Amino acid sequence: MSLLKGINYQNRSLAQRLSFWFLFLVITPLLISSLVIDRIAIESIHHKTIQAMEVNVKQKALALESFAFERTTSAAVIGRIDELAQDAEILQFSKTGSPEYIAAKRRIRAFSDYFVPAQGFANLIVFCPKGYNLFQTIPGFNIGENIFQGPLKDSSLAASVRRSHLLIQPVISDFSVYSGIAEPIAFTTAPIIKEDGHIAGYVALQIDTHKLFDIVTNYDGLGSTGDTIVGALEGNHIHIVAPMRNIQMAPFKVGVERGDHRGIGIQHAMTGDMSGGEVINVEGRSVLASWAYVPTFRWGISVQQDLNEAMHIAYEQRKVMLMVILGIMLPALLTALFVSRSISRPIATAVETTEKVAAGDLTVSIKSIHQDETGKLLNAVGRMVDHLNSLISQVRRSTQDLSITALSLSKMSQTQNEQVNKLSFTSTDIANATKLISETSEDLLQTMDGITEAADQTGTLANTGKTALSELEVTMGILSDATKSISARLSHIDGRTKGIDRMTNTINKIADQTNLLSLNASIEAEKAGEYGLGFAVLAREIRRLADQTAEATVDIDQIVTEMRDAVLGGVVEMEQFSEKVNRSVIDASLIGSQFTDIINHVNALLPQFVVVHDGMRLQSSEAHQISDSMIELTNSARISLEALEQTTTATHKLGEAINVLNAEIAQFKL
Amino acid sequence: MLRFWKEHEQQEVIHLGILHALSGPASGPTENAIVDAELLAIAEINAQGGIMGRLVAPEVMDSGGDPEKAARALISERKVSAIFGCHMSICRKAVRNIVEEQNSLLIYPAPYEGLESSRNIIYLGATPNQVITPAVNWALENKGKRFLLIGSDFIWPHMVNEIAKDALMAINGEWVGELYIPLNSEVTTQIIELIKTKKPDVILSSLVGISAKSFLSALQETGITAHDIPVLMAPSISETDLDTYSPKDLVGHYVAWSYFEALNREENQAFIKRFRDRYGVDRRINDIMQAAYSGIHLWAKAVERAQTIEINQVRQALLGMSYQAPEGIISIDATTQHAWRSFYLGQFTKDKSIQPIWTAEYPISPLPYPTTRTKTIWDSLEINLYHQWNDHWYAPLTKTVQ
Repeated sequence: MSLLKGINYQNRSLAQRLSFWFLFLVITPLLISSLVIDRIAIESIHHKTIQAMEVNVKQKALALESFAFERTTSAAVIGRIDELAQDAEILQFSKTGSPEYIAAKRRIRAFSDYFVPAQGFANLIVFCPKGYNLFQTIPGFNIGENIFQGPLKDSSLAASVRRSHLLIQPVISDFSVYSGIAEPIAFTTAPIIKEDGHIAGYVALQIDTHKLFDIVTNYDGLGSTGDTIVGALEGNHIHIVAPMRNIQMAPFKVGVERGDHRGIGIQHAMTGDMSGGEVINVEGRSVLASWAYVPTFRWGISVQQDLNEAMHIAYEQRKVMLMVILGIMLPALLTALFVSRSISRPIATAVETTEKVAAGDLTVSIKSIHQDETGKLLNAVGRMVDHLNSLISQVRRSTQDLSITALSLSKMSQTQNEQVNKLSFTSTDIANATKLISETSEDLLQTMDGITEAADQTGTLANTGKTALSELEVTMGILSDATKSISARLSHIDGRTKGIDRMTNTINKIADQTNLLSLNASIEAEKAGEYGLGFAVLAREIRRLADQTAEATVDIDQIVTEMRDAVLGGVVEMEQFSEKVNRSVIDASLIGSQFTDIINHVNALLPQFVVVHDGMRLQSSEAHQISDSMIELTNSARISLEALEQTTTATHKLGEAINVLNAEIAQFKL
Repeated sequence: MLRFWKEHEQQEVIHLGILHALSGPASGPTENAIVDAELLAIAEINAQGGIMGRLVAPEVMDSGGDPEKAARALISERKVSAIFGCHMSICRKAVRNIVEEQNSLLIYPAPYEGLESSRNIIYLGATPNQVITPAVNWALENKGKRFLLIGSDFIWPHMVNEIAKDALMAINGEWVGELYIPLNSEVTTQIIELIKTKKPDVILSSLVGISAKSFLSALQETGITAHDIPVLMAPSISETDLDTYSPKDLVGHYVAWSYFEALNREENQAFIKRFRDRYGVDRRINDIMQAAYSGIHLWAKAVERAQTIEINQVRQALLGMSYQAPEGIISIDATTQHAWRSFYLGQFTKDKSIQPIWTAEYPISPLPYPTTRTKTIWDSLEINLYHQWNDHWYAPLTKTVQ
């Protein structure tokens, strides 16, 4: 994980990743197959070489054994030659220097000259059974008088004579260095047996070392570094017995201790182990070796080839494979870069473009002449950008329109709001006015009642006394005042009804305008499409309200007209009455006699008061009705107001939405 | 990597025949013990993964009364790759016919008379030149010149004594008498008489089995101790027989073998430990057991080297093969198909063991035909005896040779 983070894998470019994986795919199989081939090559060379070494060492071991066998057989044969036995006895028992002695010596020498080389030996020594040295052909070899007592009593030669005696058979001595002789030598010692079966002595035949070592120094099949190591064990020390390829004077000069890390092959061989493997040789080099044990000589023999030489071809192969890999790497790298570029460049262009688009620049234009996936990608991106451009432009224009519409809607609803408020106030005024009218009517009614009472009283008074004439005058005076105030009130009412007229006009105008507005709104709503749906509903409601308002004003007109008529009637009546009252006042002096007339008149007036009274009542109730209508109108105006508020809210929201959209669109460069 | 594939190919078991007298007159504690030693070697080989990745399956068969039949069964029915077997020469001579006929391989672990070389037999056991000659030589140097030669009346003791006579002749010794008693006879009065009359310095005995036991106890009863006249035994009585003997009969006498249990060698101690871990601390180990054990390991090494169980290849691989055995290095001589064996002279102790007192130091080469006489002479000697005994390898009735 940390490695991936470290090399920042996720953020590497497409070209880098493609190149990497391309290289990886090319190099990895190469590496793996190289490793496998190398492994197999090394193992099979290892195996084959050790096999070859096994065959070689076995051959050499068998050759050495054969050589030994031939020497022992020859020695046995020589030991059984009767003439030798006889001559040996003569040498033993006759006097030194005597003729028999000399003759015997001569015969043995002739015998030796012929038989010894013929049988593959170099020299000959004859001992008597007690070990006395009877005859020898080795120049400069000091054996002493008796092999068991002289300077050589502990030598390998002496040991071989003893052993030959013990086993009564030929024995091969150890290779040893003897003073006076340059190279190490060995002997095949055999008993000399007479025909009667008695031992007449021992013959020690010097083995032709060169012939023996020729077997060992045959480096056929061992390449240029191959070697044969032959060793003999003495205690814990292994002597090298035969010449080595690089060290001619190896015999007895080169050695290795048991347990040393070098000379593993020869150490194994000395224990009778016969196998092979990769080991460190006596000289300290790594070799592929196989070893064997030669029981006749008690030698270990190890045949080896330098690891480097054996593996030479494998190492060469490695070098070649390495060169191939390196050689492939450069073209592979170039190909990787080329291929990845051909893919990543168009993609990079597409990336660049889309980044610009993301940043808002829709003016970019892309075109590609390629027919592959990258070409298609670029062209598609180009088309996409063009479409986006036209779409956004369209949206921009639409929002501009919408903006204007919203603005006008806003204005309209504002106006409508004002108007409705006005209406509200107006209807409130009207309500107040009608209340006043109602109150006034009530007052009038009460006044009427009062008048009736007064009239009654007048009548009564008139009936009861003429003395009350002054009271009557007063009363007439009051009546006169009263009628004046009534008149005034009636004109007030009249005035007011005029006001109502104006108001109903206004209301009508409003209703008309509202209708218009709602129509407009409907149209605009249509234009705004789904944004305008709510709007259309509102417009419809508004229209309805406007219609209701129009109807209400018609009713008002009617009532007002009736009212006016009633008022006018009242005024007329009042005027008439006032005249009459005045006349009555003037005629007060004539009352006495005219009391009855007055009373009659008053009595005659009473039904008229009743009519007026009823008229007043009617007016009052009609004024109530107006009041109620006004209240309804106020309600309607309030609802209208609420609807207008909603409209206002909706237009605000629309305005906000348009702003948002505008804000978004503003990012684009078109 | 290559070996991995090879191992997967060969998963079959290798059958190895084990043919010893487990019943009948030739059987005894030694033969069963040899089987045990061979099975130990096989177990050790299998514990290492077998040979060429294949396990070795021992096919133990009783040679009993009919070694030929048993050998035939082993080869044809049990499909053995080789047979380890026999002790007595009679068994070996019978099995020889079969292995030569079927081109199989017999590996023979016991000391014997030599005078034989079959292509189909590997002779691990010591030939007389490897054990009798040095023994006689030592006795002459240390005990005296006058030898009495006694033995059971079958081929081996006769050859032993011929070789002994040659040796005595060569080194100026003499034999005062040569006497044979029939196999399994307990009548040793004649021998005792001869000893009393001739008064030899050394008695060279190749009596076997019950005859040896009777003789030694009879000798002891006469009052003749080993100090007076030592008995030098050819390889006949070994550690596995000691329990059946009364120590006073044996103490002080000598025996020659290629191996003793008491040998102070690292390989020997380790081998004895492994044997006793498997079979029990009281078990005794003798030369033939050790030779058979070593032989199995030698054979396994040869098969591994040859990478096949095919008889000729294995034989070729065996020739020249060496093995660090408990006794020393045992090598198979390429020219004679016999083995290089060490020589030890041992003395019986009073606590039922054999103490090695002298050795020839390093292994002796095998000479199935001693060079004291020609091959022709040796062969005719053997054949004459064979015919003399009505075509048997042992004498039918009492017969003495003066």
